[in-house]
Amino acid sequence: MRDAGAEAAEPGLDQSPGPVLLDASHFTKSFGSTRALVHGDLLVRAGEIHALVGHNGSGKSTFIRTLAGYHDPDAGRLTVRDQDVPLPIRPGGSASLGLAFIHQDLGLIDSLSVLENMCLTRLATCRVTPLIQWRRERLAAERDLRQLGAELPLDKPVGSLRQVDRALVATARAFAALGNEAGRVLFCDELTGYLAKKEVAELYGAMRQLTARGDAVVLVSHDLTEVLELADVVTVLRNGATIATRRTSDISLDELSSLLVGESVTAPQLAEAQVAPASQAGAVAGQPLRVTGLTAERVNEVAFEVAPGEIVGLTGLVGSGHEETVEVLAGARPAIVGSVSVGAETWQLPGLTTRGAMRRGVGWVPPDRLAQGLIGSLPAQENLPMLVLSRFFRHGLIRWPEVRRHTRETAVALTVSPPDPRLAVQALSGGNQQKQLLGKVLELSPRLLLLSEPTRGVDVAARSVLWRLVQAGAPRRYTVWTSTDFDELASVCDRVIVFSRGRVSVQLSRESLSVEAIARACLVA
Amino acid sequence: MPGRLAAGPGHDKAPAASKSSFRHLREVQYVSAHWAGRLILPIVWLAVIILFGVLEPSTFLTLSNFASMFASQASLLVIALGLIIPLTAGDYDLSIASVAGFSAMIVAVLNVNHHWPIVPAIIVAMLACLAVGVLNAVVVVALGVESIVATLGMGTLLGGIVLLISNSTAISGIANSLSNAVVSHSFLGIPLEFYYGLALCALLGYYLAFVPSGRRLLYVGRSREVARLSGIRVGRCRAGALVASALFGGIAGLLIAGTTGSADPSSFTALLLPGFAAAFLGATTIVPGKFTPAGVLVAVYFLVTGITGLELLGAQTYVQDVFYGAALIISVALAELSAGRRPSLRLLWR
Repeated sequence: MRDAGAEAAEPGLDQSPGPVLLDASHFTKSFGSTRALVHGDLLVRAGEIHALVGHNGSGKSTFIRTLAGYHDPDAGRLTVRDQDVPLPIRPGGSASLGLAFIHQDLGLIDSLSVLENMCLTRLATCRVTPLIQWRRERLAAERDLRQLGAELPLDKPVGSLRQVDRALVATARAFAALGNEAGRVLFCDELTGYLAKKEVAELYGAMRQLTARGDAVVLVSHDLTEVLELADVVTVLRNGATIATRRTSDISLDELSSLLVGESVTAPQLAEAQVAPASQAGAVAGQPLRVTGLTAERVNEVAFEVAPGEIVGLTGLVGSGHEETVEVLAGARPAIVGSVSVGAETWQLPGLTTRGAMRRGVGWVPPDRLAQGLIGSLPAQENLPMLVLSRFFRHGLIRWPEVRRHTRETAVALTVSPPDPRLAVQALSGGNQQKQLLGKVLELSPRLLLLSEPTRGVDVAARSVLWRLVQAGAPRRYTVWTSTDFDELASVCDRVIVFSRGRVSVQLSRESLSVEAIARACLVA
Repeated sequence: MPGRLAAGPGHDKAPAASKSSFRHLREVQYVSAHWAGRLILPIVWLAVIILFGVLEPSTFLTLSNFASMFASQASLLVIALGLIIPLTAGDYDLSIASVAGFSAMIVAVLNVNHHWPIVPAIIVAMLACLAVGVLNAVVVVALGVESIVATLGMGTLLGGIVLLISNSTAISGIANSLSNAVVSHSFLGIPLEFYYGLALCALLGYYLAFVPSGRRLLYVGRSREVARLSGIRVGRCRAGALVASALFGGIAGLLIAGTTGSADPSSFTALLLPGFAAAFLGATTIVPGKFTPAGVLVAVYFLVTGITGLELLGAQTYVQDVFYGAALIISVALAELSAGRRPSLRLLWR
């Protein structure tokens, strides 16, 4: 299904296409009855920066994992530098093929120096323990970084570097592990999500230094504008299949996003999308809640309104600021300026603590249920009443029997199974943990309920229960819901606000809400 | 390879989700373990009493022996109780034994060398301990130094100060009224200091289990991040715990000064490790996995019963350390096993 025109991209004004380094075709992979990868094709030539784009669930991570030897493909053919490679690739075997992979978290140890991080892989895997020759390691590290055009202080801890420099260290290290012969292929997973625009260009510039020597880089990215500006070739995956491979000079943003979304929604329609009137949500009477001028580390002058009874969705690409916005509102992340007002009541966001936010009636369901929301080793009866413990404290005693009864009743109402108040919450399934967490926050009876990715890693049944639980209480409060699951946003929300690079870029009202519209707004923003 | 490529649900997530739900099925766990697990230590304690009772009925099974066992360990009990307060909140206090020495020495110096009345001397000693606790809290919470490091430093520093103010010699002759209140007067044949320890034990047990601020210490200790995001003032909880442990150390010092009528600058550091042994041993019983005052009570008196019995059978004094150490290792290892951990020597190579 690969677009024939792309492969035949004739030698034009820019350099002629280099030799094929990697040709993967007809890759398939199923998990149980789910076909994660239906037809994966990828052709990478020497000297190119190749972007791999696709939605969550489009199969691109499965595809890359099979190439890394992490999953065994059900079928497929792989040639690397004109050599047939037997599949599956054994774990770790990809390095000997000249393929390297960088994960989003980069795999660096922040407290160690650049030099130590550069040697890390080699020292971790060598069989005998030779003396470390620091002088040689230093020269090698300098050389590897110079190939990327980077000059970094080798003795500084990695944690003190800029985000883009950290990415460069990871890149240089990955390449160095493949030896010095040109024709290496590096796969990068979403390295640019948290980078500023200038830094993104810097990273691509560094990658260029490598591709100029005959290597290739495959970048997974969500940002189509960035891809078109900075990459050479783009491969689009949709529903587990490679839809097209094109040179970025031959395709417009519109065409690319249509390929990605699968349905042609034209730009003017997007611009028409407007804010829904508050009455639309079937709201109870009352003042809207107003967020004004919210500015924090990665968020700039965000302002929006939530009507009573309304569920407002916040979304965007990773790092676009919707997660941070909610964390600031919850008092979990410091704000620089900004305020929230409901009717005549106004509170400032700088200096707000979670405790202060709660006193204002703000309840937050954080995204990581076991690291931020619940204490896994403690039973439900300790977790559920955590925010309102003093309610059960009378005449000098916490009334544990009452706590236990209340916990059981709440668990039954939330359909937690089993609803045993003495069971450690880490023993529950993800969906049941998430119900417990929602229950813990609802104990506050918040007037503003903030939810961060409330159904991440949750099974389908629990997901719909969580949707219903939030929707049932929504008429009595303001609800803000962040998610990167567009299907969820389209199903649950009255209105969706799309973020881009720390700012509100588009607001989609009820009538214009659809998975495609949200996806398109995120990608094109 | 990339585990986080897909941020939302989709095909990629399916296998991971089903795998983890199986794991949950296998590892369904109850926090309140089976009653046998909770009561192993008290049962072993009883067994030890019966054993030595049979072997040495004439010396072991006497009221005076039990009275001396109960009273002699009151200061260790108070130190172990003090330790579990910061331990519950997730911090170590390695300075507590030195604080005990500090308070005893202040009382001795003021009362004996400077002829102060005993009550003002005690008040000054307790204020000094309070100041040490506050200083610990500042270094650990405000400056962010690891508690194990900060309190180790503070303990060593106080040890030096104790030597300084005592001129490196033991000071004896502390007013009788303190000895009377601590050890000379008894109730039901057991010196009063035992009841002081018991009272502190009950007070702390009540506070940790039935008062919201005490319960919050547990939440802070288990997860500072969850506690912070739940609106708990984490810094205040940790600081309070360190101040409280210093005060408990001060009280232990008063009990020791009262018991011996003197203060010996070199004798206190020996209390630190037995204190920790009792705290961790206590966490394997009553409520396994939690530091509880009741567990500490059982642990302290189990340890002293074993040691006393062995000494009555003619064992040398070294048996004390051997018994403390062995009991700690064995009981904590057994607790790990009963919690379902599968031991494997292969882990040594991995």
